[in-house]
Amino acid sequence: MTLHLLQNIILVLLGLLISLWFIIAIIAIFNKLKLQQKQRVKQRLIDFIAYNYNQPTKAKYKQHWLQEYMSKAKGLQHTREIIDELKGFVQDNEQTSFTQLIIQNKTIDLVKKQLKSNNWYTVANAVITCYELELHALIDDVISLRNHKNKLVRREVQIAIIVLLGWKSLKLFRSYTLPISLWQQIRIIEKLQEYYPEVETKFLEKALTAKNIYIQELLLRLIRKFELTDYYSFIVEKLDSHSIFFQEIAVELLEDMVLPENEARKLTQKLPNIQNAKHHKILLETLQNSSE
Amino acid sequence: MGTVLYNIINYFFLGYGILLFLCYFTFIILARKAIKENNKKSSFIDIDEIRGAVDLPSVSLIAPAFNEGKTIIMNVKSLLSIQYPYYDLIVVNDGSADDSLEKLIKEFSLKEIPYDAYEELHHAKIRNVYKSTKQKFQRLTVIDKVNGGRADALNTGISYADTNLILCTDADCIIEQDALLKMVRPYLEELDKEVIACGGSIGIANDSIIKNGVLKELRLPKSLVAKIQVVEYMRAFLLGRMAWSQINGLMLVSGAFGLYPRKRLIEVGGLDHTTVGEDLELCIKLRAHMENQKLPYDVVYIPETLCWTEAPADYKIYTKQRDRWSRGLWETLKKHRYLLFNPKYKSMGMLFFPYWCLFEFGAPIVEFLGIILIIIYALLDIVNWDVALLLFLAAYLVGCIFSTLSILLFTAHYNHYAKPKMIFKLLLASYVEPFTNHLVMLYAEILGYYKKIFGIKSSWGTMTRKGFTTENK
Repeated sequence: MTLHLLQNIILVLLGLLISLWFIIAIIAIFNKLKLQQKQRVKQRLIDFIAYNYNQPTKAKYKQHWLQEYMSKAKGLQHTREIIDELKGFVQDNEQTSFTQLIIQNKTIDLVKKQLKSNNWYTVANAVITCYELELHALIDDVISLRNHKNKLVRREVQIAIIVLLGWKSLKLFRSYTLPISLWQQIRIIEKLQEYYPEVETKFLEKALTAKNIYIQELLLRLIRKFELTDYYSFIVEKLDSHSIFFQEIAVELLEDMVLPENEARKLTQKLPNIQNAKHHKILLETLQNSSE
Repeated sequence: MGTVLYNIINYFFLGYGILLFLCYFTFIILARKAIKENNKKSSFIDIDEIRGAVDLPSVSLIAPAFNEGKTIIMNVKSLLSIQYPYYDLIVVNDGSADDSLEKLIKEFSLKEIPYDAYEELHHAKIRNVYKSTKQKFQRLTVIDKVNGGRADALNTGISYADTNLILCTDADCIIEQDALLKMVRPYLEELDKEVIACGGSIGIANDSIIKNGVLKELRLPKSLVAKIQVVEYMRAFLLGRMAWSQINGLMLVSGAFGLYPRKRLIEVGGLDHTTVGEDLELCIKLRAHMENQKLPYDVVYIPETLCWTEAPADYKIYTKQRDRWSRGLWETLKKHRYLLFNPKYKSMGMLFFPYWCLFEFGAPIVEFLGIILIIIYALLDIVNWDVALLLFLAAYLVGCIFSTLSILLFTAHYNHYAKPKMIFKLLLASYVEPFTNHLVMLYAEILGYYKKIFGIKSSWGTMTRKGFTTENK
């Protein structure tokens, strides 16, 4: 009985092992084909860009193929990733024109449907598509996802709102209660710099009343990044905060900053109260830089 | 009475084996889920975006070096070519007896600089600190100190560093150029839990082509000993560590490649130089520290191979390495035995630490006793050889399946060993492992425990390096 059972177990295990070999072989072949498909799509997109300028007739065939490809979920994500890759090589206005040429109602409808999905990954990708391809028509659908339960979706929604609304989106920060990561803050600031380099301080001032500590941190970083000297006092004042979190953020931001005279004076007054030797050293260097 | 004892012993071994099998089966499920989730999450944070970002945490790479004269220049050049905007490289020459320091001084135009003797961590005396006179090597600092061991050298570097994060590595490791960009991702994304340690997968680069400190062509090691370790690392990193990190149960971040917040390293007193398993001890210590502070935390693992090292290519060095690992395990578990079934430490005390004691520590002992028992039974002529052989075959096939699954998961998600010939060789290597490396490893582990039981002094030992294969310029 035991022997028979063991023999059966061994046969099952052998069968499992052989199946795994076949699965490995299939995966290896599938990966190779997937890579080839990606290369093909990339080539078509590059050809479309090139033909669009010197052989518009030929471009039409590529355009039709790309439009059909982008009307499917996998195709849409894939094409978006390639466009993102090509952004480093194609100038803004040219890139906008070719993405607009291949985006059609079918694509927008697909993205709208994806935004309503129960799967967080699908939703997050759809949000990225909205801001990478600048689908302004879907801004309301994106804003409605601000408090999504998945943090990655929330992050991408924040970024999308910045890209699609600019400084005006800071109005929404006042009521935002959830935490935001350092990376999210970095991306928000980068997108503002990239798309809306001219600061609209009226929206910033409204946002500065936010209670959320992460929003406050983001705004302090914004102030430093855009060199808004009129608002440097917000950073210097954080040195007196009871929260070590804010003290550390303030020191980090003040490092290598060149402060205007009045803020440098304030900092000099606060310096004796700084107990931490490392923070003291950093702030002293900031004062030296500011006086030069 | 004799029959009862006989049955108890047999059922103990059977039960242990089944329990271990169930654990590995659970690891496979957890690992697969973790890899899928990690792949999805990592698609949302492009390393090119990190590369161009500001406000990133600053990192110090600390690379202890002891008698690395043969490869030190190539390795340091490799470490200096890492793509990350805010990092420093601190090479700690731990009292090398060879010409490591002289080579560094000459190659990088180093000169002595005055340094602050303020020490946040205890370590052996620093002789001198050097910086380069050339702008292109401004990231490099070389600290020359009295020999104190790897942990001591790392503590010296940690103490000297002035950055948010510390990457502990070895001077003989080849780190991928975008490694820091990927390793720093969890720290950028942390929200409700603080990331206290982040580990990456380590690959074996024996017989691969390295040019200017960069891995140009990955090849399988020629030696069977090293080839088998490729599969072993796949199992350990891809299955084991991914599975543990999925349930926040990761208790070990490799000493060759681990990223930590400097603040927390200082708080726990750095690495323990009294143990040879300082990497395991550090991770457990950090976790216990956060549990004591009642602060939420995470130990994260990046499944991509970001660091390449040279594995032992012969059994002599392999035995020394595994002997050291088992002694390190013994010392660390003994030091932190207060965790065992301690509800104060929640899952770490009730599940993760007991797992390490029962299986990581216990498995070689159980296996060794099992072999002894088989021999005794054979001498007493009470072995049912038909059943015994079939049981052995079943156990062997289970092992083969786990190794094959590791290779399958690796092939499905990463393309390092994508060529069919490579996959075939790895499969074959894994199928001969139970008869080769595994037996030597068992011997080395029992030897390590023997040394601890009888107080036989043994240190880190010296791993003789052949060096990587370099392409001629």
